[in-house]
Amino acid sequence: MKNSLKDLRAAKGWSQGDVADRLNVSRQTINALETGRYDPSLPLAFAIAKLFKCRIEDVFEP
Amino acid sequence: MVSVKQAPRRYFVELLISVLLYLGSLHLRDSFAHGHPDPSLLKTFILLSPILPSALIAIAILRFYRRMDEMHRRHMLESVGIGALVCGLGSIALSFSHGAGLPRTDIAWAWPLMGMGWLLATAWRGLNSSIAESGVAATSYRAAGMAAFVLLPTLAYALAAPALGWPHRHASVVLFATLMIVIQAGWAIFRRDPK
Repeated sequence: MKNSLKDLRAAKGWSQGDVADRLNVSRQTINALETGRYDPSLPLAFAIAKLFKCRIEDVFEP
Repeated sequence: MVSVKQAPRRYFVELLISVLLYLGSLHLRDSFAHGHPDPSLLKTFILLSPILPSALIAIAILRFYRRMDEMHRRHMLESVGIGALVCGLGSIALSFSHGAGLPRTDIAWAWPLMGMGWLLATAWRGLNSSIAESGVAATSYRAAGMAAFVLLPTLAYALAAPALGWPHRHASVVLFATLMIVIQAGWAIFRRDPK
């Protein structure tokens, strides 16, 4: 599953650690999401969309 | 509530205390059993005493599991599954080896065998993640540094111990290497930003 997490994060000027702290996950998880090595659960995907104030389909695409 | 970032610190402290209690109870059990050959209620209690810290180790692992994020939970479960597979294969191999005339092996080996499979699976995943994140060169450099931190002092201990009159049996060298691994893990965990 592709995602635009890296672009959204860059637009906010946040580091991977900043996003990880805001979502209460590890920095490694954010890195794995950005590089496509891990697909998040639905609750985490919703939390990511909520953090960047956008719809879930704006962040993730199949 | 403990955050994902704080969880490794808590786990390290809880596991370290549990393991030290376990080693202490083993020492107490062995020293007491030698001095008291007659059966008694106290002796039975002391002989069974390592069970309690073993349970504390299991509780520490479970608490850490509950504090992990979802990706690490999944990775841990996969690693435990591989550990169980290794344990199953090992128990079958030991069972057949007993049938072939080799000495009977204690069932207490099941947990170390599973732990070894779990550890190897975790190390393999960590290595792959590190390569994906930092590249082969940086991962190799880091792995070499970690190996040197454990192996060089252990080698120095193994060479110097007989000359200095320190215990230099195989078990003490393994214990020294384990101590170096614990120090390294503690350093890696506690140098991170705690917030």
